[in-house]
Amino acid sequence: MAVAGDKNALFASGQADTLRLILYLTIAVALMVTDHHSGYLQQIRAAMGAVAVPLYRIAQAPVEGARWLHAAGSERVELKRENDALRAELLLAQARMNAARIETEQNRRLQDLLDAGRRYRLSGRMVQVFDIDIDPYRQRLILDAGNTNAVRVGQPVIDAHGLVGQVMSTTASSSTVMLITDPDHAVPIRNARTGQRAVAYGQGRDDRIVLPTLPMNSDIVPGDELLTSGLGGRFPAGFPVAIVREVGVDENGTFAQAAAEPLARLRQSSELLLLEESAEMTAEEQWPADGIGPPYQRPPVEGAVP
Amino acid sequence: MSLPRLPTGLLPFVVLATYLLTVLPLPGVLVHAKPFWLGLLMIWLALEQPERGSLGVALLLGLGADVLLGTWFGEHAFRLVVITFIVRRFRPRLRFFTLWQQTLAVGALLLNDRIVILMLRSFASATSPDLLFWLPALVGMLMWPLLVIALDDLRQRLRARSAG
Repeated sequence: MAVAGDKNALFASGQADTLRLILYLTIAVALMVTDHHSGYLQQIRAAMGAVAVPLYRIAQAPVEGARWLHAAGSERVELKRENDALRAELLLAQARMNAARIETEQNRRLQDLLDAGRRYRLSGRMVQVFDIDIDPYRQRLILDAGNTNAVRVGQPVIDAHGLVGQVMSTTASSSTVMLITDPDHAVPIRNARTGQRAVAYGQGRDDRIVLPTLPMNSDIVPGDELLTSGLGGRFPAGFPVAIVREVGVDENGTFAQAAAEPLARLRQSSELLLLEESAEMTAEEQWPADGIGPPYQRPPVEGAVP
Repeated sequence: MSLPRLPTGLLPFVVLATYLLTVLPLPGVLVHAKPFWLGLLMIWLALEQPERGSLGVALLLGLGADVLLGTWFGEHAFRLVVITFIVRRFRPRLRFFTLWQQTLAVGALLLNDRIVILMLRSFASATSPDLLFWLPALVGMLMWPLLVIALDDLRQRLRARSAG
């Protein structure tokens, strides 16, 4: 009937357990507060995160296996591979197009400011998303690339359709992305139609970000496209973020509010693009000698978005 | 009749399997139904093997989960320590419950756990959960009998082997 530990468990454990409970809960709370308010634990997390990567890979094996079986079962394996390659190309091409929009806009601005020799060079890198489940109420993703692949905290992440989020923390071989829909995330945006600037906050829901404090007289209507404004310097300007779906008034009637739907396929992308931005000035020798025409550019790196 | 304890060597594998279940991707709407596997494991350990299902083990398992899932360092640890403490406190009573009574108790524990999550998150930002938020507690409760049967079966087999 009785297991060896029973007697102890029945009579002696009560008080000791209560003391331990208080101690451990205090430790847990202290850790949470430290983690939340400072990056102090980042290094520890980064070191231990390396252990987690093999687990991610194992957990992903059934999914990969199912996909492989699905592909192998048909005679279309070859087609499938080709399809995959094409899809990757399309993703890059669409991102390039988005980048081109920035250039167009930049050109317009350059016409206004003739002396501006500053130029953004954007390049992107495809990264795999670990197809694992984090709490669905947390708007996070884990990428299959980390410090060793030169992923840095704060790097913007996009997919073919729009802004996805930014890198929040990295370990040696994986990194966590905070999505734009996370309640802790804010992105400076600009209304593509009117040029009005605002900040869009996440709400913890896949399909929604909000602009909570717009002036009452704002010209914003459902269907407006929101682009990154580039203010704050974290996200490059001109990337599509969301489409306005609803416009209303806040509870106190002091501000107009808008809810928008993110354009990026936050839950469906298996590959994302990490943006690298260099805000170097165009070097003197890159300008043509006669002073006419665009500056000479180094040929783009393969896979980079010029 | 007492069942043998899980051999020490097996426990890490059980823990590893639980972590794997935790990060296993589920299709579609099932992501919202994923039970708190670690919580279930800790409840079982605290009930059946209190010397292993201790608060310290709960803390460590929780910290492991926090690293794995990228949650705040300490969030899972907090939840597991709370669950484990309650189970240990009422262990004598819980052990004499029939399976379905135990199942209801586990349901209550998991529901409490969801409330703890809400409490912890409300410190960071206002969250308003929808109905789906409570689903993991229900699913976890329904998983409990299966888990007990599976783990008891595992122990029966081990006993049969050691006897035979």
